[in-house]
Amino acid sequence: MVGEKDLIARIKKSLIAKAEKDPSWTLFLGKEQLSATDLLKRLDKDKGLRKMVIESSFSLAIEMWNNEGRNNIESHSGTP
Amino acid sequence: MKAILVRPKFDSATEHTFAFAEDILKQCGEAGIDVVELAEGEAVKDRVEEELKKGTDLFIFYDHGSEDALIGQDEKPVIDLNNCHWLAGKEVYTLACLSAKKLGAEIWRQKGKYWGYTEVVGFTTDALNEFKEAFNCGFCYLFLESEEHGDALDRAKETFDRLSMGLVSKGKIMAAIFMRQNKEKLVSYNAQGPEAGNGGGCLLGLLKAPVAIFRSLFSRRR
Repeated sequence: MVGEKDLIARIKKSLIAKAEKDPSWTLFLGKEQLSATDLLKRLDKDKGLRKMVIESSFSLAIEMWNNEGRNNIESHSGTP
Repeated sequence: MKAILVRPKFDSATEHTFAFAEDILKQCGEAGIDVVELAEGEAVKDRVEEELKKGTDLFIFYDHGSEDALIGQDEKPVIDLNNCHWLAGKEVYTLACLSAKKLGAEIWRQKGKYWGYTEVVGFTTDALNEFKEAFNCGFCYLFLESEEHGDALDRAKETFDRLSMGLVSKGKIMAAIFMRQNKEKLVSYNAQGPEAGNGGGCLLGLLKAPVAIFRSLFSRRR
């Protein structure tokens, strides 16, 4: 079963690819300015940020499933 | 309606949010709002207070904030807990980290209405248009479409959700994550105040108390 470690590993892989493909990519987090490489390092050190990214990833996944449900209802609705 | 728009520009983040606020200026024009713009060097406390003394209905602020202040061009507060009485009874629309936490709550206690964020706001350079739409949409719902604050907040959160799903479909997952996070921290203090958005009222607090006590005992033993 896929767990949090797998998710973080996948996110890091994505950030490594982003750092190579788009070196100008930046995350502005308040007054902080983080490149993909900076964010990669922050995810190791900052437990709060890591937790937020994991929770938001799950939350996005749930929203995707909700959307599928909504889309199915919409596509099957209408006048007979 | 009279408005003051304050938009400093002194670092990379404010360069972007300065541009986001350009659309707010245009929307003010469309809505017939008479707006005084205090940009860059004019986005400082003295100038802000000078304009507030003349009277306004709406105060708009784009960018850095802290729990108890909105930060100006000189990186000092233009509004904080010491001078927020100028915003008593006014509409306040912000894109500023954290400021809803204490400053927004205080302005709400002084009968103001506060649109803002309770935590740090994040945005990424691969989705600037989407973040601009998200940060500005509430202004459109409130002042162009004259929605009630609660309805405008609901619609804004739906917009954040739509945008985050759009970002997922474009493979911009990190942008989607921060779009979603910003949505969670967006508040509108109007009829309901900060307490409603911070985990419920007294009854909920009482219900949560035994769990909190148990947790604290457990963590001390470990």
